[in-house]
Amino acid sequence: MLRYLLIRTAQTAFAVFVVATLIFLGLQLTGDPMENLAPQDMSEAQVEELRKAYGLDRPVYIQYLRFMGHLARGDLGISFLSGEPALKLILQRFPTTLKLVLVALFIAVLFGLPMGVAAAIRADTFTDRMLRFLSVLGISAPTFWIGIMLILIFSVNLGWLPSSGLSSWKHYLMPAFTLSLYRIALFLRMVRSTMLDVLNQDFIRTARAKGLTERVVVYKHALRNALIPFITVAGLQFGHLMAGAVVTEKIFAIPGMNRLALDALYSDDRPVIIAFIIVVAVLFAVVNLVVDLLYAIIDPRVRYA
Amino acid sequence: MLKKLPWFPIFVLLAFVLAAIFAPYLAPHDPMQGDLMISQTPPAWVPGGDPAYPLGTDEQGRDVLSILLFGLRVSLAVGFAAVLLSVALGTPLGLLAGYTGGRLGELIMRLADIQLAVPTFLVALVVLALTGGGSVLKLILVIGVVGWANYARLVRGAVLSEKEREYVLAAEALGMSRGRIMFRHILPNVLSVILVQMSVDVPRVILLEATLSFLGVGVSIETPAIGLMIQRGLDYIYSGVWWTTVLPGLVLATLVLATNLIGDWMRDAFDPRRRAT
Repeated sequence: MLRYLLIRTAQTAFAVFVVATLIFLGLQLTGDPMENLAPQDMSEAQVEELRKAYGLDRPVYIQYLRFMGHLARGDLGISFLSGEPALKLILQRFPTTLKLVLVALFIAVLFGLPMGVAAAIRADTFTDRMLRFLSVLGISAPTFWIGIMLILIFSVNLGWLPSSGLSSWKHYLMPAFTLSLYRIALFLRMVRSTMLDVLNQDFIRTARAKGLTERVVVYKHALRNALIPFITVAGLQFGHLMAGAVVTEKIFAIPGMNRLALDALYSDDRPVIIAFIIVVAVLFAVVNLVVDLLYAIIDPRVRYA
Repeated sequence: MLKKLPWFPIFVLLAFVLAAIFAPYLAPHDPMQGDLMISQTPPAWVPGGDPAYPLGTDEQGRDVLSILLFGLRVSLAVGFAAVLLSVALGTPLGLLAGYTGGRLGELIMRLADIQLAVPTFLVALVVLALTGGGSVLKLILVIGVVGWANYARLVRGAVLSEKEREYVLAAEALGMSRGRIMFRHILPNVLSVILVQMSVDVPRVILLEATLSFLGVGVSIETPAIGLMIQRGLDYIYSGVWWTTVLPGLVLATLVLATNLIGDWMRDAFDPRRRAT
C-alpha cells in the first residue's frame, strides 16, 4: 500500500513536470507578454527595465531552468498585475470554488443517482422514458444560458434570490444548480446504463433465485456494483467542475479561482495563468489517486499490494 | 434490427441546416447592420414590437432573427468541421497504434493519455485567449486538434479486437500491404465506433464553441454568432430586455437537443450489445 502510494506520488510529480514544461513551451509560442503588459506610453528604456525586472531578458533555456527551479520550491512567480505571488492568489480563491463545487456535486449525486436507479429498474416504462428525455434536455442546455435564465426568473422577475456573490446560503442555490444540472443528467444516464448491465448478469439472477427481496437485490447487490464506474465519473466531474466553473463564476460574479484565471487570461497575466493550470493539474492527479483508492474500499477484488 | 428512425430530431436538424445554408436569402435584414433608432425593439408578438423584426432587435438595433440564422452557420460549421478534423487526425493514428503497435503505437497512446488528462475546454480557452481571440477557422483548428486523442484511443481499442479476426488473417496470408489492410479492411469495420463517438461530439462541440464565444475568446465580435449574442444580451437582462438572451439560448438548446437525440438513437442502433437484447 505504502509502496503503491509512493509510486503514484512520483507519477503525479512527473505529470506535473510534463504539464509545466508544455505550458512553458506553449507560452513561448504565443508571443511577447510585454506587448500587453507595458502601458502604451512607456518608453523603450522603461520597457527594457520592466522586462529585466521579470527576468524576461534572459535566454529561453535560462528562463526555463529558473521556472522549473522555482516550481520545485512551490514558487510560481509574481502576478504581473497585482505584484502578489501567483500561487497565493489562486489558493486564496480556491476555497470559494471548492465550496461551490462541493455543493453542486452533492446536488448532482443527490438527484442523479436515485433517478438513474429508478430509470433502470423501470426500464422502458413511462417513468424511464420521461427521465431519459429530461436527461437529454439536461445535457443539451448550454450552462451559461441556464444561469442567465435562472437570474431572469428568480432575481429579475420574482426577486427571490440574489444574483451575485456567495455571502449566504441563498447565494449558493442558483450557481450550484447551474453547475449541477448537466451532472444530474450525466449521472442519470450513466447510472441507468451501468445498472442495466449489472441487472442482466448471472449473479443477480442467482440472488433473485435464492429468494432475496427485490429491494435487497437492487440496492445491495446491483447498486454496489454499479457504483464502481459511477465513482470514477463523479471523481472526474469533480475535477472538471473545479477547472470548468468559469462560466458560472462569471455570470454570478463569484470571486472564485476560475474567475481569477479568466481575468488573468484577458489581461495576459501569465504567472497567474500558469499557477492556475498547475493547480488544476495537481488537483486532477489527486482526484485520480483518491478515486483509485476508493475502488479498493468498494470493490474487495481490487487490492493495491 | 434498427429501431425506427428518430424522425422529429432529424427533421429539426435538417431545418436548422437548411436555414443556415440559405441564411442570406431567409434573413430579413443584414445581421450586422444595426439602426440605433430601433434598438431593443421587442419581438413582434409583444406590445411595442415591429412585424418587420419578428424576434426583435438587439442593443445596436440589429435584427435578432437574422443574427440567429447566420449564427447557426457558425455553430454548425464549427460543430461538424472540428469533429471531422478530430476524426481525420485520430483515426489513422489509432489504426497505426492498434494494428502495428510497437514503440510508435506506445508513444501515440502515451501522448493521447496526456491530451485526455486535460479538459478540452481548458486547453481551447487558454490557447485561444493567449493567441488573441479567434475566428471560425481558428476555432475549428483548435477544437479539432485537441479532440484527436479520443478517436485514436477508440479506434485503437476497436482495431485490437478486430485484428485477430479471420478476414484480417486472410488478408495477411494473401500478402496485402499493411496500409491496405488497415484502411480497406479494418477501417470499414470500426466505422460504427467512430460514428457513434462523432454523434456524441458534434453537440458537445457546438456547445463548446458557444461557450468560448460567450467568454469572449471564440469568434470575433463582428461575427454573427449565438454565443456572442447571449454574452451581449447578459448586460441588459436587468433592464427587461430578455429576447437577446432567451431566444438565442432556446435556438441553441434545440439544435443541441436534436443532435443529442439523433446521437442516442445511433448509439442504440450501432451498439452490438444493445442490438442483441
